[in-house]
Amino acid sequence: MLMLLCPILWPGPQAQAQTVVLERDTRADTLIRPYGKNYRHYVYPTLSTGLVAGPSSQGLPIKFGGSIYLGIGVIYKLKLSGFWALGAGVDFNGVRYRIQADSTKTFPNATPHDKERYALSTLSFSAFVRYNLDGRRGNNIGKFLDLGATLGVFTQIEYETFDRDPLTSETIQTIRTDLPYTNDFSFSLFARAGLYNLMFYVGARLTPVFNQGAVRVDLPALQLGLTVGIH
Amino acid sequence: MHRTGILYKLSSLLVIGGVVGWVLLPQPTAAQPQGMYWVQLTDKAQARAQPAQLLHPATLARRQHLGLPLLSPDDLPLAAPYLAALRRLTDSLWMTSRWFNAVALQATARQMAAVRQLPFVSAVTCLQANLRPRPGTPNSLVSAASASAKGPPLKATAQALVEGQIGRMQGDLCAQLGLTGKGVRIAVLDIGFRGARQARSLHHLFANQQIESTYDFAHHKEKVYHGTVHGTGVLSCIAGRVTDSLPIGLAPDATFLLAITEKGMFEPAVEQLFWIQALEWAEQQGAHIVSSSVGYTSQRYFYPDADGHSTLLTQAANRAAAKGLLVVNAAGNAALDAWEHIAIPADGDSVLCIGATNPYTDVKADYSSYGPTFNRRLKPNLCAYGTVLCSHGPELAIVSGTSYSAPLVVGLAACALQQQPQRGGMALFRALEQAGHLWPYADYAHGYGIPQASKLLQLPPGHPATPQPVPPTLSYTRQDNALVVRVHNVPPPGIIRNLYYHIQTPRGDYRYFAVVRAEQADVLRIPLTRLQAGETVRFHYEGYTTQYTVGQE
Repeated sequence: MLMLLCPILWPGPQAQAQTVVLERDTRADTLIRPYGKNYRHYVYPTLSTGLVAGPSSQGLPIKFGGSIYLGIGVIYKLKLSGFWALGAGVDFNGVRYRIQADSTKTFPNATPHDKERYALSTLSFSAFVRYNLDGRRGNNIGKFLDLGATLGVFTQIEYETFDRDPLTSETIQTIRTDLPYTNDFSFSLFARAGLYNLMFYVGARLTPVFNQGAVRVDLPALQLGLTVGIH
Repeated sequence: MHRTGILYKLSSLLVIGGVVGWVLLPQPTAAQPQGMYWVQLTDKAQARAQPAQLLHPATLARRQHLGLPLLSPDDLPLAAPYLAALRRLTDSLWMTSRWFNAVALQATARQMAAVRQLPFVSAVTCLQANLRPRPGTPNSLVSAASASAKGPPLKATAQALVEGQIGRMQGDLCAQLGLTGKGVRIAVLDIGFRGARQARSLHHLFANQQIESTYDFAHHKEKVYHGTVHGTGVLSCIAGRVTDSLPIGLAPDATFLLAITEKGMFEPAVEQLFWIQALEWAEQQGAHIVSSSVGYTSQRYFYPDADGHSTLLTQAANRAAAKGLLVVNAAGNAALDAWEHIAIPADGDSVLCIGATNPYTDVKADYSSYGPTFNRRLKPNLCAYGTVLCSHGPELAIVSGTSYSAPLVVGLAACALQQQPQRGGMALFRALEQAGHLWPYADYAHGYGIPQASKLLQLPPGHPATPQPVPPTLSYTRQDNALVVRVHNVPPPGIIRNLYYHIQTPRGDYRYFAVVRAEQADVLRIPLTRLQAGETVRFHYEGYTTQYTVGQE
């Protein structure tokens, strides 16, 4: 079977028991490639991180500096012209909203804790339109502006507290996952300004995390951050 | 309780997006984004001038020598009233091109709408949508060239290397014949010449005032001894010497015009305009040969653009060749990148494209870009050592890159031109190709090989280096439906000899090529089933070329 396959697999004439210093089959040189950074199709992985932003709901004050998100994803780009492209992305990200332990906190309860946070894990599916800002750029990602929308599926929403046991000085962590007041999905809009591998991201969630029929607070809806395209 | 509303979120998104966009997107000088445009003009408004007013005496002498018109319409300056009108409408004129009767200018879309209405504007092309400098390496061979030796560990001393870079071209013949490039004017277009004044290897150029003119087109000033040391290395590969008896390049007595055409971190589009400007300047200043180690690949172009005539750079290079100049450009160091192929403008059919060889194997250096052009014309045309000893600023260093291969060939070309000044640029181009050590064999890695002085220069009758007909060094036979190739002189252990072969299609291009080390007599076996009707397999070994054509046996 191997003998049958070899003539198909070998690109050209073979030397026997000799050192082939250099060889090249040039037939593929003039084929128009369908895949590449600035060709018809391109897929590349991304890493993203950033900060949560936006106003806190009354009763649920958020520490904005310590509330961050991390994500890993994949972007697919379909080039339509030198200027326009369509894209889709899948992203798995985690967001931590740290709750400020002060007197204004009333949700989910008024009990003060050493640390307190909501941790959201989301599987996101996005679609976007990409406008390239440098039309003639060779086989490069270049500079671009993405405008898109994201459908997020909450795979896990946790409410966590951390308290020091006054007797043992050990930290007691409690995690509650069966929160009765959370939604299953979210919908967001986003914009990304890209410069080669780097993308500056701003996203706004338009739907609440918490079921507004059950509670009247929500987590901040904005995210600002950086996404690195690995290509 | 406060609840964040959808309107609030949307407006926040717009505001933040707007701020981010304002920061990131191009807003260089005006409220509207600006672009770089290439504006073609209809005519030169009956501009007139005498040749001596516009051109260096050396340019006139060259043209007279080659039978070219002393003054052609593309030598005339652009019409002053047209330029004044364009200045009034736009923010800045970046450059003018006499050859293309065109202007590169910076303007907003609104300004360009007005420009397009001008009766003397025939065509407008957007060169760059925005003008903000962007990070990343400049897309040139300069950045790809490495300041360290590549390939296997040095088996020889630096002296052996520098002797090899000259000796592989039989450069000692030039000195024997008293050829040093004297009277030949060479323009070197590069990114910087830092340390050239302090370099001992180039001391004679300054002592003898052989640097006749300099200009930094990227910064609009005459000083060029700044930037990187890349151009210093290139210059030394043309004219440098370690000692009087140990040359680095073959044209120590040539006259030089030095131009900087790159800003390093600046936009490739603009740098290409600088290169065109420098080329026009070089021609105007009477250059005979242009040595350029600059090239552009995937930062701006696709491989189909490398078809020998599509880009402005290539058009300018071809036009310079049409005016009698020999334009030599490095092939590029992109063989290991996704691009793989020769850089632009080395694709020009009138541009002598030089690849690099590994001094230790005599085969293409791994980084040296492959040909052909997109329309399947032969590139590179020739090759030379890709690892050389040269001036790396004031000091000598071993460096690698096709950037250094090209000037080695320029040095040899200058000697040939000194000996036979009646040759025009294209005649010299053909003579150099025919002097390749593989000629008439060629492939898309080596071109016609490394030029040999004995095949290029006119030698006195009876000179021992006079090329002699080479007896057959290989033969082939058909055995069991295969082509068996046998070399007649197997080298002793430790000596490297290579068999080159390619498969040429009936259209004339090579669909496959390879280099095999000759280590035994039966060096190669090619199943005939691999060949198609009308295809030719051509073999080259030790100066002898033979071929087999399917259907003509």
